[in-house]
Amino acid sequence: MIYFDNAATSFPKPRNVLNEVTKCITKYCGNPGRSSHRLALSAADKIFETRILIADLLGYNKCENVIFTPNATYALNLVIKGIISKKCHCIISDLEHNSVIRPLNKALTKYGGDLSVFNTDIPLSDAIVPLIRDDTYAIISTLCSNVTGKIIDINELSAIANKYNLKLILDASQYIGHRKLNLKDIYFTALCSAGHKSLFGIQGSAFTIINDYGLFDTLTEGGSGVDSFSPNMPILLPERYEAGTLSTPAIASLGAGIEFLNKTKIDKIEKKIGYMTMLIKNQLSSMPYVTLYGADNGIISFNVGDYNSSYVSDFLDKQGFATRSGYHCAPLIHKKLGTTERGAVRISLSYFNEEKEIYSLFKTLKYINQYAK
Amino acid sequence: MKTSIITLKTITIGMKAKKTLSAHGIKSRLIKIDTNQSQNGCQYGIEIKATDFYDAVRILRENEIEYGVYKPK
Repeated sequence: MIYFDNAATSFPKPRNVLNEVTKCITKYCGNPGRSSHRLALSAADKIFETRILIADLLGYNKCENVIFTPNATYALNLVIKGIISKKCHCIISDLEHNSVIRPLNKALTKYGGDLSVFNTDIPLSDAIVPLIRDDTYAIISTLCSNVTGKIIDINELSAIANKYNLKLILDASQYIGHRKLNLKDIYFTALCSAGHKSLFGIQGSAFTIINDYGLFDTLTEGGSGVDSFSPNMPILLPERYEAGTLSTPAIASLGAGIEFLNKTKIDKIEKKIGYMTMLIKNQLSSMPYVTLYGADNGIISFNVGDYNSSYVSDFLDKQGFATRSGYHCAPLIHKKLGTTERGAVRISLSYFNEEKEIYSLFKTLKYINQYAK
Repeated sequence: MKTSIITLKTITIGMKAKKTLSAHGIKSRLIKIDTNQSQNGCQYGIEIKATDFYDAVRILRENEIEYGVYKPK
């Protein structure tokens, strides 16, 4: 199988990630932050080490503000439902995933608020500023579309939010690992990311960095390893938002994934992904029956003739290629692209994809294209 | 060897304190505070040589690491 579904979850993982997970499960997987025996402290050490790796990767200086969550959806639920705690107006991009749209809809419905959607095809200031009202409280945006790969400029977004004194919640799940991100001097409230995509952790690894700490409400409550006689969660980060046992193997894998990135260098990864994206974009553009919707940052979406995206993706699967059809949990961009009837086929790359795999895919796509109309 | 204990509110702060002190050449050991000494339930701390105590407290303060009551062992 040639795997082109890395925006869903990356596969394969680097060898050092597999080794670390095995080592964790067999050598040091005590309960982190609960007991004080050697296994528990070793697990806690690994978790702390991973907080530092994440903070260092992003040029952020407070590792205790790195909160581990089971997935990016959970991280977004935590910060959106925590921060949106009154009647207000929010602004989101037209690229958002349901992991933003659904928790935000729930929070706004609860308090009677509403939202506006900004158009990512025009300069950000032209798109966002006219939408800002007196009751606008937050901007919530992805940094990279999971459908078209379109990148949103964090510096510009941050400057707008700062100027108008708005909370800024960022979803970096498709961005970190393929592009460099330095949060030093960047105004933001919280940044959320999956760990199992381009950071090469296993599923179950994700995090949020809570920058503007205003003691917002918790999403879950339970054991924290401290303040046992208090009926409330502790006020200190990260324990406040990490109720229950953390997944040490998942977090250890994320740490190993970041070590792989540090060793390989993100510049090199960005260059390789950029080259392969351009190669696919150019080839697809030359096929007469292919409609290309977007190609950037290793994410390419298209349709062939009038075929349904599921038909094409299933055909590719039978030929040994893993792609993703449908709507990619991103309804706004599919409405905008006019693909609500048949979705789109998505190819998503990782550093481990090779040029020869792409040429192999082209052969099959050319075959499909012959029969398209 | 006579040791001192500095209490810290969470294990993450404990880890941070241990790493910070280590960077300044002070060895420490992360421990769980005895239940009869901890406040409001489980609590962590770091055990250091008693002679390092004042330097350790200064370093923690300089690095804005919040520490709690300390008790000589």
